[in-house]
Amino acid sequence: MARSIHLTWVLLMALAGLTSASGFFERGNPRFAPVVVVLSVMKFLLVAFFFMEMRKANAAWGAALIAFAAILSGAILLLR
Amino acid sequence: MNRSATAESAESIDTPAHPPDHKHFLYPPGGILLWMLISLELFTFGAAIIVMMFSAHKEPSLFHDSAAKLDAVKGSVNTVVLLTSGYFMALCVHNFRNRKAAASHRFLGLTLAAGLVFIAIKSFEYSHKIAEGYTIGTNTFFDFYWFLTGFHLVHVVAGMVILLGWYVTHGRSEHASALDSLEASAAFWHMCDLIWLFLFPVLYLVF
Repeated sequence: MARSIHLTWVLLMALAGLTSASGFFERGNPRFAPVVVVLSVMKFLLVAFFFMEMRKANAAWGAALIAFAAILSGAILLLR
Repeated sequence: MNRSATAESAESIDTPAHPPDHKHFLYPPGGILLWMLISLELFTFGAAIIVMMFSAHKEPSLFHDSAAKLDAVKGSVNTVVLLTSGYFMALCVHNFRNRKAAASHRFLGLTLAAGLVFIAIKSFEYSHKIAEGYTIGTNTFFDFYWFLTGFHLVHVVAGMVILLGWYVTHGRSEHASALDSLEASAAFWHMCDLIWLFLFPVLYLVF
């Protein structure tokens, strides 16, 4: 249990580093916007499922969170 | 009632006979009421972000130029700080569940410290933006910037108040009945992470 929390934090730090690197070096580059948004969705789901323990909850809650992240990220990429 | 019967009665109050089954739709970790609140908050911020993207679609160059005025380094550091505070919070709940009250209390203190660092960096960033003249009313981008980050900061402060209350009153307690309230407080704190994880790229990186 604690191991999964430690591992989640390591992954989150790696993803945060990748997000910032993509953003700094390629800000405004249309090809990198999807990368930044997908990395953010991955962090969102890691926090929700491992820190908030939604993997232990009813599958409907997990499905709702995935749907929210997919709709919001899709809207961001379509409208930018 | 003799002494052993009294002790047994007290224990039965502290230890729930049936711990909540989180697989049931009505018992997510943190509680159904808190998750209704989290759903509403995510919906509100999500809707605001979509409205902002519509505005950006109409004025792409204004959003590109304005976003370049933000300090992405401070935003990145704040992302790391907030995610690390979430890590400490998860460890706090984990230790409390395993009846390690001292460790749980220590991680709660670290969560609060990370929250303070987030607020300090945000305040520093706000003071710079005000000094540079980028306030509400400067343009559409900065209206959204102040509204979204300010509303998020209010949630972080509210989360800090909830956690501070817990730190002072229940932080050293090991009662099973307190676990529900700690999980609910933790869920609120993690909600601040969830919101920031979309705000940061949208405001600082995407345009």
